[in-house]
Amino acid sequence: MIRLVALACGLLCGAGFVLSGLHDPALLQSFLMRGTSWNLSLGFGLLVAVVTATIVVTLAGKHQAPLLGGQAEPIDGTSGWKPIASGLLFGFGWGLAGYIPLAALAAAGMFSPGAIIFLVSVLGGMIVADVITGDIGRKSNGRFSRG
Amino acid sequence: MLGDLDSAFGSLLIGGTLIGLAAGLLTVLTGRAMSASRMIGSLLGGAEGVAATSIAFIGGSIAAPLIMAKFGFGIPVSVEPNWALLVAGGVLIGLGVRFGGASLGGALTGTARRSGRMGVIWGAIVAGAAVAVYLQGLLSGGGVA
Repeated sequence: MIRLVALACGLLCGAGFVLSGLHDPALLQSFLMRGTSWNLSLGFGLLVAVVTATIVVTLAGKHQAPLLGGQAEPIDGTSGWKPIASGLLFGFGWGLAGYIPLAALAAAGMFSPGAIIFLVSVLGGMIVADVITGDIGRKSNGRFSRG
Repeated sequence: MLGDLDSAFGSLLIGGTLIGLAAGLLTVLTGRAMSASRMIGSLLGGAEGVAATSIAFIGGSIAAPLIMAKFGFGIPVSVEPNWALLVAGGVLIGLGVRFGGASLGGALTGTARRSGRMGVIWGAIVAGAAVAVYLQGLLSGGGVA
């Protein structure tokens, strides 16, 4: 059931990107560069997504645990300086490539070659990080043990 | 000043709502954060169930545009950066996510769940992106307006 829900949410998310065009790498540059063609589409689309997600979570009430059972995946970024540095790196990568992984998945479904190169590079970056930290085979995701 | 926002308002509203709905439902029902980078990362190892859920989500995300194209929906990518930028950006995101776990989808889910400091994480992500875009503007000689 959990996998079916994940599949459905993936379909919803991919459909959202494709319908809105938010997967387009050009939107980031036109959002952050305040030139004659300043385009607020990206900021507006993300704001709508954040508000909608917040409403859904709020409507679900005070459930700390997921409705389908198990425990909630911890959200990184709630303490320490690492998530901030990580956020800066993530943002810098986003600024270079124009893609975030969520958007690239949708673009890959439209056979955009750049999105596929980008996703493979994300995986490559993770493997490099694991080699550097000697963390191969002992992933941080492992502490979250259900699905 | 608003550029193309007014003409794309309806599609952005619908698309943003679907993305938010996906993030909200995913975390409320399964407890997962809608972070594609962490899902991709879980394919490298970790708990089996987590990887299976990740594959289901990733499969859905890729399948959606394929299905919608059959019905004539979909806004194609207008332009993609060159391969060097795509590879550099992808590797940095992979490193960043493995290093400290921050991602845009994670920040989206975290904000919805009202986890602490998400404003700081959003700020870091946008600041990083702004620096990269600014530097590209400088290096390309076009300047930043």
